[in-house]
Amino acid sequence: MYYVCGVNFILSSTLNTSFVGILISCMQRDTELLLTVATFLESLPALSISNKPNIDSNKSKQSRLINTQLVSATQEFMSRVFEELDYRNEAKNCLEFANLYSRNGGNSTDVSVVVPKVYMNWCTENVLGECLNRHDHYHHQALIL
Amino acid sequence: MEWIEGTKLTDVQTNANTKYNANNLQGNDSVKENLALVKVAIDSTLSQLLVTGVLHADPHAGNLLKVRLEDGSITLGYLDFGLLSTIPSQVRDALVCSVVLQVFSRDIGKNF
Repeated sequence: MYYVCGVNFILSSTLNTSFVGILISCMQRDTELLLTVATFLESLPALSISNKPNIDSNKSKQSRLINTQLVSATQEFMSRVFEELDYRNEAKNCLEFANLYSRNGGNSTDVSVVVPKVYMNWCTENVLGECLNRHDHYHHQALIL
Repeated sequence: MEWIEGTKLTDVQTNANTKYNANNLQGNDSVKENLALVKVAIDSTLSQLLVTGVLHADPHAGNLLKVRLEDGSITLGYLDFGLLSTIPSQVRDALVCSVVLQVFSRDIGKNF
């Protein structure tokens, strides 16, 4: 997950899009490496305590050392990470939530909460919007993530 | 994205327990306020899970804010919409039905 923090940090300081591109291609290569490791670990057979061959056919499914779907888990995890990296997705989610529960124009009658306003015109894959606080310049810088 | 000014719901613990904070009344007040907001958060999450099906899937203490509005009242604020789950209506109905079923069969005592 350090990549995610890295992208946020870099964006807040320089907004250098090409560098983000390099990071993402780096992550894609890391994903492939992780998948290789996962495939290898999944292929390991279980350690048999006795040297006798396991005749019981019911136990043949559990003859792996690690009984987890590591490859699927890795794929799921990495796709989640890539999804979180696209800020347009988060902006869309925020709008959807605000339409239901925002105290300014939410449709739900159950509860109303404060939801940050999203400026869709300012959102890209790497930028989640713009802070429009007139009073505080520090905040202005802090929210360009 | 708009800047939202607020404090964490968990901040109250540190405020109330500090010895430097001589004014205990203020601490108690904010405990009461924050507990009221926790109730709002529970209502909100139940509404998301069972009514609308648009669920904020990451409602931990860092993502929930206590926001003081211009008129002095306090409200709950939500942050971080990276994970927003959609609950299908069948699942919502099933959740309600299973609870209702247990209530009507007087079975809740066994589980709670």
